[in-house]
Amino acid sequence: MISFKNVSKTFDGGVKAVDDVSFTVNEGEIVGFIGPNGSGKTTSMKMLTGILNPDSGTIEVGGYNVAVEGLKAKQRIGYISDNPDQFLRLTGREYIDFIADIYGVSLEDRVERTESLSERFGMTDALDRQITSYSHGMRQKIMVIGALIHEPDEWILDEPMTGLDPESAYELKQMMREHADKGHAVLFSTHVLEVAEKLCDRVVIIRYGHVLFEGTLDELQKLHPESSLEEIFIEMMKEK
Amino acid sequence: MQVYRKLVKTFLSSTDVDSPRQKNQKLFYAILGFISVCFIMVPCCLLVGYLSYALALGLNGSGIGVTFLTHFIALFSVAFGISVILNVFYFSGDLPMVLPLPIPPYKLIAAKFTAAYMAESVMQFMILIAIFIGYMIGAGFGVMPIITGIIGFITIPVAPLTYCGILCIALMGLTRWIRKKEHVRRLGMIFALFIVVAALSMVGLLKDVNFDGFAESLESGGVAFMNVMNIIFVGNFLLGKALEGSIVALLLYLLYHLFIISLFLVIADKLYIKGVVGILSGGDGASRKRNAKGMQLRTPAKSYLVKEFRTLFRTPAFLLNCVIVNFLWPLLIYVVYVMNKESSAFDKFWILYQTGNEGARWIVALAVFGISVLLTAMNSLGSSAITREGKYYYAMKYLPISYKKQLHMKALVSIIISSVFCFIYIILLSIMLNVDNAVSWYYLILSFAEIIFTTYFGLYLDTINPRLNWDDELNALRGNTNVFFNMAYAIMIAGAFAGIAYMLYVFTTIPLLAMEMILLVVTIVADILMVNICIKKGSENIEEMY
Repeated sequence: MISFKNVSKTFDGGVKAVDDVSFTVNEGEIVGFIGPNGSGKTTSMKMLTGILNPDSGTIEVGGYNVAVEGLKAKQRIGYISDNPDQFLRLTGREYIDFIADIYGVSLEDRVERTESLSERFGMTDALDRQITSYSHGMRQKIMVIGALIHEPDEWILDEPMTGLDPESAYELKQMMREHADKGHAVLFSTHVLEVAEKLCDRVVIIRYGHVLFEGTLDELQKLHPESSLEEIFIEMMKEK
Repeated sequence: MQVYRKLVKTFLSSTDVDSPRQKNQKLFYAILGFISVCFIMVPCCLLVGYLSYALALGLNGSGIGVTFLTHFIALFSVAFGISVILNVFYFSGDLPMVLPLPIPPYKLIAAKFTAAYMAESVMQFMILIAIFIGYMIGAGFGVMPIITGIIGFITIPVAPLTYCGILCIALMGLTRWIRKKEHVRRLGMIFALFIVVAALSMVGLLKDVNFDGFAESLESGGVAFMNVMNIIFVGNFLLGKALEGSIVALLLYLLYHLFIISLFLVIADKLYIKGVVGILSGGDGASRKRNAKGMQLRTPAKSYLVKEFRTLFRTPAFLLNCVIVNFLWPLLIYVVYVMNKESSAFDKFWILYQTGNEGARWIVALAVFGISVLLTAMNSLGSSAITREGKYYYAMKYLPISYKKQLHMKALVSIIISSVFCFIYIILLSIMLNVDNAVSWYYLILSFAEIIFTTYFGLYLDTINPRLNWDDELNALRGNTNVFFNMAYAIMIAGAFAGIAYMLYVFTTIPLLAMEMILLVVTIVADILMVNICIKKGSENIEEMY
C-alpha cells in the first residue's frame, strides 16, 4: 500500500510544486496519476521513492515511513523514472545483475526472471550490448526489466509507456493488471486518458500541486454526465 | 555576425559553473576559490613569469625564451585539444537542435570553436600574461613588445586548437571507418596518448639543454626540440621575432593565423556536415557483444564498486582524464631527469641519501607525500565521483543502498587507482635510491594514508556542489570546479607540510625517525576526521540534492 498524507514540497525560489496532497493506493489497485506538465506528478513520485524530501507530511510505502525507514521502503519499490538514460555504459545484462545485487535477488531467481522478462519485452538479443547503443524504447524496456527484477510489492511508474512500442506497452499493461490482481499496489503517471480509462481502478487528478479529484473514472463521469472524459479533464485544467 | 555572436553566447552558457545553493556552502566555495587562485594560478603564473624574465635577461632581450615556453603550451594544447574538439564538434547535446537551423556550417563551426577557445583557454591566458610581463621586465617595455604581447596573448591558443579542428574535421569527413561514436572517442584518446608519447620523445631532443646553461643552449640554436617545434608551430617562432622588434615577423604572424583559420573554415564548410551526419547516423560501437558469460551474485557494495569501475573504464573521457592522466607523472620526472642528466645534482643527492643524510631522507619522505597528494587530486577520481553520475544521479537516491556505502565505494575506486600508480612510483624511487625495505614500507603507508585523505576531501567537495548538468562526459570534468579546488588544496597542503617539516628539521633537534612518525600519525588522524566528515556531511548533502 502507498499512502500520501498532507504532503507539501516547495523548491528554491518559492515554487510550491506539491501543496498538501493526500491520496492512497490500496493493495490490489492500479491508480493513475493524471495531470498536465508541471502539475506535481513527478515531484510526488520522486518524494515517494526517496529522491526528494517533502517539507511536510508523511509518505508510507508498505507501512514504512519513507523519511524514517527509507531503505526498507525502497526495498519494496519498483521504480521507473521518466527518463531511461541511465547506466549507459553497462550492458543490459550487467545492469539487471547490478540491480539484482542491490536488491539481494538470488542467482537462480534473477536468471529465471531475466529470461522471462526479456522474452516478454523482446530484449533477449540485446542484453549483452551496452545500454548506450539502445534506442529510447529499448532503454525504457531495460529499465522496466530492472525495476521488476526483484518482484517489488509496490510499482511506481513515471510515464512508463513513453517510447514503448505497442506490443511492449500492451505487455506492460498486462503485467500491471496481473501484479495488482495478485494483491499489490501500482501507481503510474500518464498523460494519456485512454490508458487511464482502460487500466486504472482509480485516478488521482492533480494540477498546480493540488489534488482536484480522487476516485474512479465512473465517479468522475457521474459528476459531469454530459461530457466525455477528455472534455471533463480539459475543463478541470481550466478551472481556477 | 549577429548569428555568430548569439551562437557563441549560447554555446558558452553550457559551460557555466553552478554555485552551491546554501549560504554557508557558498562561503566555503568562495574561500576555496580564493585558495585556488592563491595556490594554483598565482604560483603557476609567478613561476612561468620568472622563467620568461630569466630567459629574456639571459638572452639579452631575445624572444627565443618566449618561443620556447609557448611551444610547450602548444604541445599540451594539442594533446588535450583533440578530445575537446571532438566532443564540442561531434558529441555535444546541442547538435540535434542546431543542425536543423539554416546556418552555414562554417559559421556554426566558427561559433563552436570560439566557445571552446574561450572556455578552454582561461588558464592559458593567465600563463601567457605572465610570460609576456616576465619577458618585458627582463627585456624592457617598448611599443613593439607591448603590441606583440597583446596580440600574442589573444592568439597563441588559437593555432593548436585550429590544428586539432582541421585534423578532426578532415578525419571525420573523409574517412568511413570511424563512423561509430565509440570508435571516434577511442580515437581521440589514442591520439592524445600519441601526443603524450611524442612529447616524451621530443623531450629526448632536449638533451642538449640543461638547467645550468639553459639560456645559452637555447641561444646556440642547436636544440633539436626547438628546431622541430619552430616548423610545426611557426607562429610561436614569428612571435618571438616580433617581440624583438621585427614588424615583418608580426605581419607574417598575423598572416599565418589568417591562413590557418581560413583553411580551417573552408574545410569545415565542405566536410563538417558530412562528418557530423555520419556520426549521428552511425550508431554506437558498443553494440557488439561484451559479456555473454551470464550473471554473477555479488554483495551490494561489491556490485556497486564493479559498476563504478565499468563506467570509468568504458567512458573514454573518464578513462583518459582520470586514469591515463596518471602516466603524466613519469613524463614530468623524465623531463626533469633529461634536463639534469649533465648536471651533478642527482649524483650528489644520491650520495647524500646513501650516506644516511637525514635531510635527504626527509626530502624523499616529503616528495612521496607531495606526489601522493598531487596525483590523487589531479586524477579527480574523488572530486568528480558524484559529478560523473550526471543528470541521472537520482539513481543514487532511489536504490536501497545507503549513501555511506555508496560514498565508500566511490572513494575506493580513487584509492585503488591512485595507490596503484603511487606505489609504482614509490617502488621505482626505492630501487633508484636503494632504499631499505623498512623505509620503503614507510613510504608506501604514508602515501596510502595521504591518498585516503585527498580522496575523501575531493569526494566531500563533490557532494557539496557536483556538476550534474552536462551533455558530454568531458564537459563533466572540465567544468567541475571541485577538481580545481581539490588540486588547490593539494598544492596548499603539500606546500604547508614541506614548509613546516623544513622548519622542524632546521630549527629543532627532533630525531628524523620521530618526525617521520609524527608525519604519518598526523596524516592518519586527518584521515579519520576527513572520512567521518565526508560520510556524515556528504550523506546529508546527497539527501538534500535535487
